Amino acid sequence: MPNKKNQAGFTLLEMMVGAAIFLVVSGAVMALLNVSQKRYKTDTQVLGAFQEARLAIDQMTRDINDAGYPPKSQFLNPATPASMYAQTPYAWSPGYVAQATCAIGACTTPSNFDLIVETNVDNNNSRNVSWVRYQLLTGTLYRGVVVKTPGVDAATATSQPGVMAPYVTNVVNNASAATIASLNNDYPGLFPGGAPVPIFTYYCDLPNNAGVGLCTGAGVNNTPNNIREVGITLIVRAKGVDEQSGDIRAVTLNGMARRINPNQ
Amino acid sequence: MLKAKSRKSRKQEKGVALLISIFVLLIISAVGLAMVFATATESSLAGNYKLSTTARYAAMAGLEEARGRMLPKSPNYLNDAATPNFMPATGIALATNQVRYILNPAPGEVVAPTNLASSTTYPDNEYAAEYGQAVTAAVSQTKTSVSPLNNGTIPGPTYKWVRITPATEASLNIDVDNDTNYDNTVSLFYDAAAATPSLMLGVPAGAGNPATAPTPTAKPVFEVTALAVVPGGGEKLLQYAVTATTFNMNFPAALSLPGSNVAFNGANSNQWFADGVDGSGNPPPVPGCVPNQPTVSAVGVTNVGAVNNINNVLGGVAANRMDHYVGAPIAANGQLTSPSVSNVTLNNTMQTPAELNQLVQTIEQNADLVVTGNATQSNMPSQMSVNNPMVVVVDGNFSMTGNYTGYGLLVVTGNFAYSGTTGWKGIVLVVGDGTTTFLGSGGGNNEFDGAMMVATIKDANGNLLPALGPSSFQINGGGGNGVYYNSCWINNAQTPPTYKMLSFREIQYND
Repeated sequence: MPNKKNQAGFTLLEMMVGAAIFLVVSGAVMALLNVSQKRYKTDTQVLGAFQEARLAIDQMTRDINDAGYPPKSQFLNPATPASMYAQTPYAWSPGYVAQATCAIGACTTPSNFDLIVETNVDNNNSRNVSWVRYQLLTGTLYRGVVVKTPGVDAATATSQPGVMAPYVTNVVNNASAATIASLNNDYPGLFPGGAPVPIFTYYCDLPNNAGVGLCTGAGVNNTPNNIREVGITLIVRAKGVDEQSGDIRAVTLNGMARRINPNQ
Repeated sequence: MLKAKSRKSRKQEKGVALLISIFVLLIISAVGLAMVFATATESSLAGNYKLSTTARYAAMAGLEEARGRMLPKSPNYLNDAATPNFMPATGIALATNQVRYILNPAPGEVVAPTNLASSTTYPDNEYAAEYGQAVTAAVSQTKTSVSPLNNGTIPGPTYKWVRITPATEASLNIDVDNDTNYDNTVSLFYDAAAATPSLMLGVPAGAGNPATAPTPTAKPVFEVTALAVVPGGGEKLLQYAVTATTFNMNFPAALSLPGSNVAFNGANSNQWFADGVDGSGNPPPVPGCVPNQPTVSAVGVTNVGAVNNINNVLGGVAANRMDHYVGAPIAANGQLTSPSVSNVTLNNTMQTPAELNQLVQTIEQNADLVVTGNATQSNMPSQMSVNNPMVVVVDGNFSMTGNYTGYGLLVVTGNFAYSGTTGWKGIVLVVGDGTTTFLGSGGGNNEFDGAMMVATIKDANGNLLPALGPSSFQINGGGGNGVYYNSCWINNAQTPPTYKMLSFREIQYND
């Protein structure tokens, strides 16, 4: 009893119109999907860099907070091995062995891109003080921990093979002039004056308990022993470039860490 | 089959439009969801960093609350009627099996650091790691936080508890005396007045470790540990080592009369004594303190130029009262010297007029009461008591009469006079101008327990002298009112202006 009319399919015209609509709609969706995917990829890279930098800032803050632990005043006997206490919150170079200090700005470390914290990082298990070094070398911030050896220059000890390990990649604080110019174009003011941005900015105890001020300021006790606060600025870039615009994507993280242990 | 298909009308096949719509919607939703997830990841990243920082500041708030409330002068001092023995007297260490907590539960929350069985009430497992025994085996007392924000609409700091314990080598994990033994039964002390300030073991002299016995100006070290847990999971365990800063006063004699020329007129009374033996006389005890410092001189003087102040003092003592001045040096057979009048060296912050003037100014800045002009006992703070010694500076002459006892540190920048049954428990520092006079008119049976010093730092016009000037010490009439050396009261009188932070560290918290 089949009704012939009921068995009729789509006409060619109907099929073509239907297919055209479907193509237009799915084409639009695909285009949107493509854009989203590119964006997602770039954002993931930015987020990855961001997360890495955040964890690093958190760790740096913790190390700097604990800098100078335990102070020498915790020990009665002057013959206590110097490996047990922190002689200074921040080791310096050059001249650390001789205990002659340097002026912030003139030191190799602590400097804009290099800091060695002297502290007992693992105070529950090890009784020895360690040197924790953060150093920026061509786009990668390295971190290294080595047990303190009295009489040895901290910068030399941390420069031994296998000590420093990559910690944060794609750090552009001191990138090449071309990269800085390109970034400054996309993010105006990211690099003031087009100059590299220091990772570490040091604030020292002012004379006569007058608070803290920039270590490089006039009349400031500008030695590593006196560093009280460390401002941290990390500028990291995503691994690749933005696939849509071709620009470098970068983020800036700021942190402030305060040494709580008293002056040595 | 064919039959079944034939039943479908063409109208029914129009449902394909719905399918396409659903398909398109699905794709759009997937893209949208991906975007939402990306944002969520970013939010949680920012959140973790925020939690860590929030927890750190919350724990710092806890540390600072404890550090502030350890001060006897704090309006929220930890010792009150409910917990009179929360903190020991100034200069006394907590026993090593004692532990103190300040709890700060959120509304409706239970914080029980000593309940190690429950991991949800912030157990203090760190205590066992530091002291080698579970906190349940220690004697604990608790108080609650006074954070004023908690009573208002703004939530206060979200730390959970702060623990105050006596610092030991084991708890700090520091071998203070470098003997490779991490002692856990001896409290640590810190001597800020030493040439090289350092921690030292609080073993009293003669208890087997004389080399590291705390010096008279050493103060106990407390460990303050705070745990903060913020909603969302940020945790921080931070620790201070703190010690009381005091005026670092120590005395080489029961009665110190430094200066260029001492006019001395000793008492004729048979009840009057100057005694350099620690804890002699009948002083009220300082809780937890045993007077066990070495015996000092009864009267200490400094010789300047040709004037022999020892002879000046001895010349003012009646022949039948020579045995009323007992003290150091102790002879080989254990016999005390009598009369005990010696040349002494004062604390290095009390030797010159400039140093004494500086000391007086420091005390004045931290005094409980500063009276400008002449004063009597009626000007003294009424809250002053044997359990609440205070720091009082009288910028003028001071006289007390009748039946009065003061407690704490008294600085008089003029002359001092007493009569009747009057006395002082603690330190009396008379640093005046011209010829500083101490005039006693006895009659009573009170005592001056602790230490006393009379010196002239300014000339009659109020100009600072280059060296300590002349002074006059006169006791008339009968009665007791003697001067008895007491290291406990010397310590107790110097209520700390602040607790100084010696070190800081962050610890891993395991619940």
